Amino acid sequence: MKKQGQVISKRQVVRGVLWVLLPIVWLSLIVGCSTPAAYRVPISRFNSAVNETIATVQPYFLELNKVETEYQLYSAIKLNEDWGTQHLQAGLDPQQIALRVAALQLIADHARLLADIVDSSPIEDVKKAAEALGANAHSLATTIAKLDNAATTVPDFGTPLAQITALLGKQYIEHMQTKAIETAVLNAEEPLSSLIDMLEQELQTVVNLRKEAIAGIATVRLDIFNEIQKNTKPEKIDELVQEVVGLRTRAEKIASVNVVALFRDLKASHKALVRFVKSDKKPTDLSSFVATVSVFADNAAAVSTIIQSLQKL
Amino acid sequence: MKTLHENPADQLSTIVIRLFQLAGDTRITPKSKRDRIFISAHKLHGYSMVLAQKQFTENSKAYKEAMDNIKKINGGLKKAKADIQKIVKTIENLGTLVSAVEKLVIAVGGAIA
Repeated sequence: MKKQGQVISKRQVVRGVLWVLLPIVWLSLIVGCSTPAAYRVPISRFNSAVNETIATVQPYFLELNKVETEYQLYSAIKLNEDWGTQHLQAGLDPQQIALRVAALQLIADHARLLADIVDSSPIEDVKKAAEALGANAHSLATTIAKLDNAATTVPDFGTPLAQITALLGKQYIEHMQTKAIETAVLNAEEPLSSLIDMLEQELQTVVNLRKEAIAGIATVRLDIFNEIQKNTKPEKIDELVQEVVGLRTRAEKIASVNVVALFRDLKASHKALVRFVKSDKKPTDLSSFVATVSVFADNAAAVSTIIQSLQKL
Repeated sequence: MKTLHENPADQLSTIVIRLFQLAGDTRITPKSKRDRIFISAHKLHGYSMVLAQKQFTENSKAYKEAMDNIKKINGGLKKAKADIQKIVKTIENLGTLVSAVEKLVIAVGGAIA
């Protein structure tokens, strides 16, 4: 039995500190195995590439009916038909197109939300809050000591308390980030693969329809250029030639853009992400994931550059 | 996986594009022949459009199902982000609580003295 007024021994103090540290160490071991840092760079690159791809692909769906209407109007000239409302209603059902555009947006949102989780880590905020907690706790202890008249100075335990709180807060946040990413990636594996597969097939269809319409338009425009050529003054012929050459340049640039291949890269990157989440996350697993995402990101950037140059033509 | 040359829709598209190119080739004479080629290409392009519409309509249900699932998963990610922010708030609240307790101790101590 401990008598009143008995001095606490150093051994008892050490035992008390160990009892406090034990749950902290235990909690650290539980959450300390998180690896959000491994996700940070590849998920950020994956997000950029997905968004670049979606921005490139969306107009193929959105502008299909516009290109088709243009073709219908040009073909009416060739077929000696008057322009009518039937030419303005050509193409695919706009509601069906809107559904595909919404699906693309959803994929972009998914990638952005994954990146948000790994990028927006409030570690600095945790550190500040922990420092404030440590300072307040130290101040409270000093106040109590003064009231007790036992001592006027209290050893600074605020700093280690702030450090422990910041460390545990950081580890817990990283644990939550990893869990959120892995749960989302595994749950999205099947629905996202299914969406990507359908969109890839339909993108091929849309690209085919667009190429057909552009080929038809080019044929009719050549006819129109031939009519213009007959009435063009010799000094204006060069301008006309440049306009016809422009038709070819644009057609060649369009042919060089393989948006469907870009979508295949997206599919491969998504599979690599799922594979990495399911893996033991060894350095080889990470490098394989990073390599796939890098190819995707590079191709997405290259295609985006070509598309931008097409808009300037 | 089907390659470009195995997929009938892709093959049809290749034929349509080739026909449009031939319809503009002035080496093919007389012009009426090119006009007939253009009409054939125009009709086949119409069939391509019909096939595409059928493909889009048939896929719509699967789209809605997959999209509903991803919307739920995206909702989970938004919630996780909010939960992570709450950890900072909890530590801040703890600091405020300790500070409030100190004020209370001072007040009670002053009253007793």
